[in-house]
Amino acid sequence: MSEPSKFVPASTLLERSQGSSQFDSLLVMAVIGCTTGFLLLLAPDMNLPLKICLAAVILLTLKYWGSVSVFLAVQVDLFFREPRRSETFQGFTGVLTVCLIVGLLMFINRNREILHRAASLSVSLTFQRFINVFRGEIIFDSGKAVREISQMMTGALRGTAVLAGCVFVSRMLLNTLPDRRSFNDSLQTWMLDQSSVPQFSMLLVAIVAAWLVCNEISWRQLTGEQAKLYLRSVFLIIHHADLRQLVRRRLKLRRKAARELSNLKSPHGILNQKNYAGEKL
Amino acid sequence: MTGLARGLALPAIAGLYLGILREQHGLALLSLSVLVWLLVEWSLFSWRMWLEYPKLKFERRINGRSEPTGILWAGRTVDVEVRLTSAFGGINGLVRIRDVVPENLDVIDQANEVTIRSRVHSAMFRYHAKVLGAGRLWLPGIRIVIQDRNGFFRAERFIPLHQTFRVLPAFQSVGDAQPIVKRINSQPQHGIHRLQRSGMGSELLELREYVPGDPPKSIAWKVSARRDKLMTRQYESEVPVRLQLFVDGSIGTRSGGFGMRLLDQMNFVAASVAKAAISVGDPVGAILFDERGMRRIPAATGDKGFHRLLEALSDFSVNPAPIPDRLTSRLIETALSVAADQFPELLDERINHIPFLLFPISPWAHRRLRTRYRLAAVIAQVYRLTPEKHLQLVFDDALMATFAQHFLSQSGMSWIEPVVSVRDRGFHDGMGRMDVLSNALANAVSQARDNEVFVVLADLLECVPSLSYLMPAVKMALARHHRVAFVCPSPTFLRPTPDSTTIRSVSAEDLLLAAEQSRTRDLAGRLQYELRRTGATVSISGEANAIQLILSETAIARTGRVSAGGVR
Repeated sequence: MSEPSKFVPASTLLERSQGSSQFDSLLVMAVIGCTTGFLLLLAPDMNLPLKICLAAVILLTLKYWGSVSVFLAVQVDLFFREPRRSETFQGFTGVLTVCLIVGLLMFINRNREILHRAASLSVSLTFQRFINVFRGEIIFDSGKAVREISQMMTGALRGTAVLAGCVFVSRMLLNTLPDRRSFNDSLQTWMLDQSSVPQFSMLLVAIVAAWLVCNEISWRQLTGEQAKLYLRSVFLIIHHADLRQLVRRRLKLRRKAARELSNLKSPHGILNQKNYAGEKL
Repeated sequence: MTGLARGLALPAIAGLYLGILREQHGLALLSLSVLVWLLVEWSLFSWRMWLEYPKLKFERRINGRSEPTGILWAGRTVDVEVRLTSAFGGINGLVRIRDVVPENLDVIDQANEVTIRSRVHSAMFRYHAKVLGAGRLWLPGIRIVIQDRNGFFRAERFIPLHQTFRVLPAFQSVGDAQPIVKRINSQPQHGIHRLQRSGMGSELLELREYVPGDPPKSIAWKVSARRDKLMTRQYESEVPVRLQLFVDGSIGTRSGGFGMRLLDQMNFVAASVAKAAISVGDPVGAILFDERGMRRIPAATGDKGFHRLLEALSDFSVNPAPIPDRLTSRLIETALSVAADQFPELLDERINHIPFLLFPISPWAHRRLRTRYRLAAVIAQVYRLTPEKHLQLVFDDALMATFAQHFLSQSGMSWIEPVVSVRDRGFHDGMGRMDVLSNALANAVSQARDNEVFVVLADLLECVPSLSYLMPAVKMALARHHRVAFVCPSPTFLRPTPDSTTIRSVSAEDLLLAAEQSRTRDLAGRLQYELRRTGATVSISGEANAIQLILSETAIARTGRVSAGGVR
């Protein structure tokens, strides 16, 4: 029916958005297992039933909030439990821990659609799927599975690279930032220095230049229609008060005229009263 | 940036600040890592948007053809294939692609939406869809949603890929009406039928006494010799039978979804009857009337004439934008969803700014007003309105309703009720429609030649009280020995028989259907009574029986017999 197009070198038949993956159930189980395990590791002093309750609440929010609730839980745990000026997170252990936490957040985020789909199914159907996985009673398409495994491997490699880069850069940045104790001294020294004024001016100019460049980039990213609409909406905001007054006034006059016309046409209106008077005469 | 990214960024900033302040290195490192992660994802996403998105090319093929215009048939399934190529060297996931289809196209299994999950250089997807109703089908383009894999950033774009098709009405082939067995000695030419009235045909009709003035060659000499007086041969007439279709396209026949409109039923009957008549050589013409006026399609025969008629019916079936005088929340919501489909980039809050609004205080009313400002901006941009008109859309309900209906009609959506807020007014109370139909019928009778069949396809059920306006024209047509048949489509698509009014279950839908059906039955009874008195035939609901009724009327007209009208 349809002849192959000349300019398409190798066509890939795309899958429907609602299509399910071969590893949906496994991934859902992996996400839930990893998250639960990690959450149970937090706050070791807390009662186990309370901890399980909190973990359950956080798991229930995964469908809508993704990794945000897990991140908040970890932050709260660190905020209350991490000692000040601790050496634990300064070295390799700290980097590894942060890598694991961010990796977990990435894992949850990447599988948020599968979680969303699983959460919208009925509980019995979800359990049935899990049982089917354990029994090995799933319909397996080897070609699709190979494709998905290769996609997952590529994603995992890319994610690992991003993760390592992020933690490494953060560590470097954190080392360059002044800490609380040295911040006041550094600021005082810089203020008293003769070159602080030109340095500050240069910083200001750099900020303005960066702002201009960012604006220019974002402006050039707009399509023609978007740019026109942007100008239109800015114009409307500037003249909103005047235009609103004008439009409201005009509508008010129009309604008044319509009301008067309908009064004239009504059985007790002026026109009919005249007729009535005429008839009487 | 999505809510998820904001939800991570805000605690991360707070955590970084607290971590530095409280000298908690772990908290600060974790928070900063998350911030850097967000920054990296933003950079990669912007890179994709900057380089990959503008290089995307799409091509759509409908039934293997990629031309911007074409012809489709209502009720048939079309094969759609969309090809995607990237001139940049591939596009990376996650990209959702949806071929935006109008309401007149029913996609099977929602297969018009696909997702790119890994890098591809070229890709394609196929889906099947059913064309629902006659008219015009406008495919606007492709909507793409580009996301990063973590769901932090999202951009919605619309790539125009216009294709416009004229959708011809569906029809049913009722077989060849030409008799196979030869019953007469001389076969008249195609489209010419024997009429049992005296004329210049070749078949003998009767013998009568000679009257001075009869041509000498018509004298039957042998019979005259036997009877001993001059006798004259009378021959049959041989005339064509013209079929004249009157199709009503008023507002009442156009409301409802595509394929469910009364007009779709009437189109089906009209096209089927025309096909059957043209196949035996009878010329078919049409008079299409609605609020805008009347259009006459001259009677024609052959395939060319049939296609011309179908094209006229197709053009007539395109819904004009009505002028509603009531703005409903449904109208606003539908217009907004269509705008989100076809102009997602114009609904972006960074582009579509809204002035500071203190009032209304209620958050729901505030949100509704903001939504209306956004929609007004999109409509003003699409129709190139002045800023004053733009703001008037926000405050003037009638203007907004008019533009929203125009916008929806042009986007291929069916009408959103209420199209007419007040009944018993103007064309919609039946008097206007009866006037137009009466004039059309009277004109057709005055221009008619020998024997014609007038088929009135109109929503007359609601016009029973105003039927007296139509009666003179019907009586005149019947007095001139033409056949008149009425086909009134039923809103429930069911013939109002006693069985159809029985309540199947106590569910709300069935009760409503039964109530509607009994009301239709009551109206149909009155209508049939009025029309049968004049000798016209009536069929309620546009179904196969209505087609058979009209074909039998045509067959009677071909023989020249005069029989009482029937009811189906």
